[in-house]
Amino acid sequence: MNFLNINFKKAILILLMALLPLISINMEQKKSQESWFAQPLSFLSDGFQSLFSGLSLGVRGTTAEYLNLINIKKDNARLQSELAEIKTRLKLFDESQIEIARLKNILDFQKNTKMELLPAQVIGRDLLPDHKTITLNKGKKHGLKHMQAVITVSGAVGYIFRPSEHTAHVMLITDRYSVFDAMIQKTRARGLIEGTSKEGGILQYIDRTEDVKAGDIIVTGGLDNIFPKGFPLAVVTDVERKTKSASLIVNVKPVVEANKIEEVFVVLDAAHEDFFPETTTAAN
Amino acid sequence: MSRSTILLILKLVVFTLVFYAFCAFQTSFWPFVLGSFPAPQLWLIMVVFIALKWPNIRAVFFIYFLGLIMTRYSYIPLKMAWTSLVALMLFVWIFKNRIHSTSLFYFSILATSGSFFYAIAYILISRWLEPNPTPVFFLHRLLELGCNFLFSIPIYKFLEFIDQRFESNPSWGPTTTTASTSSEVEP
Repeated sequence: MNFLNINFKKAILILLMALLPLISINMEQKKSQESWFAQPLSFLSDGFQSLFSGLSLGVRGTTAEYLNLINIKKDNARLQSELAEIKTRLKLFDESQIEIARLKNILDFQKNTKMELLPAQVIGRDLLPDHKTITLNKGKKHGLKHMQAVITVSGAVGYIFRPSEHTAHVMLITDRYSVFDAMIQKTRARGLIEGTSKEGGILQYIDRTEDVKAGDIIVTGGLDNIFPKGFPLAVVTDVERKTKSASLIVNVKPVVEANKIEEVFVVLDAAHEDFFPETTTAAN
Repeated sequence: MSRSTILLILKLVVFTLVFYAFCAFQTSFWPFVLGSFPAPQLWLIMVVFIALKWPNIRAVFFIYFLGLIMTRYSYIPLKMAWTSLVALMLFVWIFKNRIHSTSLFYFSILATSGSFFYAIAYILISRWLEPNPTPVFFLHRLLELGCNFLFSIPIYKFLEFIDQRFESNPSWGPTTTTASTSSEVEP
């Protein structure tokens, strides 16, 4: 039957080989329409692509987040460090401001008074809790003597009881061995403040008829010309009126807290300074 | 001058300087660093050490001398300093002659109880000798006791080290010699 002696198998194969490109060329020409057999393939490829694309996005996203996190951590650490530095600077600035204000206050006080004052620094406290003394960094070499008054801008502190060559020991108002001539500012009633070695002292020899209340200011008497007259000394905290006693027991607290003193003035000469404004007016 | 005499003089000088340093630490360093929180009484720990370790006669006179130094750092009258220190010495001697121990803990306990006794003795002597006696300061003294206990350990090590350096016959064992010269009489 095969007159031409054709190998049909080969012919079909060749035909198929020729047809497939032709089909594909034909398919290319109709791009708008996807052929039926390509659709499931496309579906699968789309699915896989979407899946891997999603996976890729996820991986990239996670990596980016991780990298961002590292950066955030770094940034956070850097910002924390910067913040700490700024805070420290701010604190130093605040301290400086306070120091400037304090020193300005001291300088103004020194300028506006008649008294001859010598500034000194506190370098020590008492060895025992039973006594209230401080040590100053100025001594005999700087003109300090026994019984000179020691004050701050806010009020009286005590007096020098042991001047050495380079230092001086000051007895505070609160020491139980100290006695100060004092007056109630409001009534001008005179008395003596005796320390108790605790936080305050007792104002004694005030007549029981005197009108003394908590909060009244006690000032220096100024009789001895050691302390300037009328300089703040203490504040009344409590008044005891015992029936049998002729005088009041007035508990007082010093205006200057001894534990917080850093700088003081030693009164070299009180020059009869008077802090009572009305006395000056009356005298004029 | 013999070597032992030189060592003794050196020891007295060094212990005096250490006492000065302890007092200065308590009065000029601690209050400005830790404020009003009670400071450990290093000087008292040193007095306990001397009373415990040194020959009695030498200890008595040296502690009197230390009492004199104390008055340079405080307004404490000399009568108060000496009487309270003698009371403390007697307290230490009671234990010294009855309990023989070289342990650190023993010293700490002795230093702390010595501080407690000193506080009580001071208050009582103050009521007896002073017209205006000292207040009790209960919390302050209690905190001081705590500080003394803690600080007694390093202070003991430090003082022991110095004491041994200037000893003419340094002890190598756990026990320490208390009488170094034959002229000193034990009570």
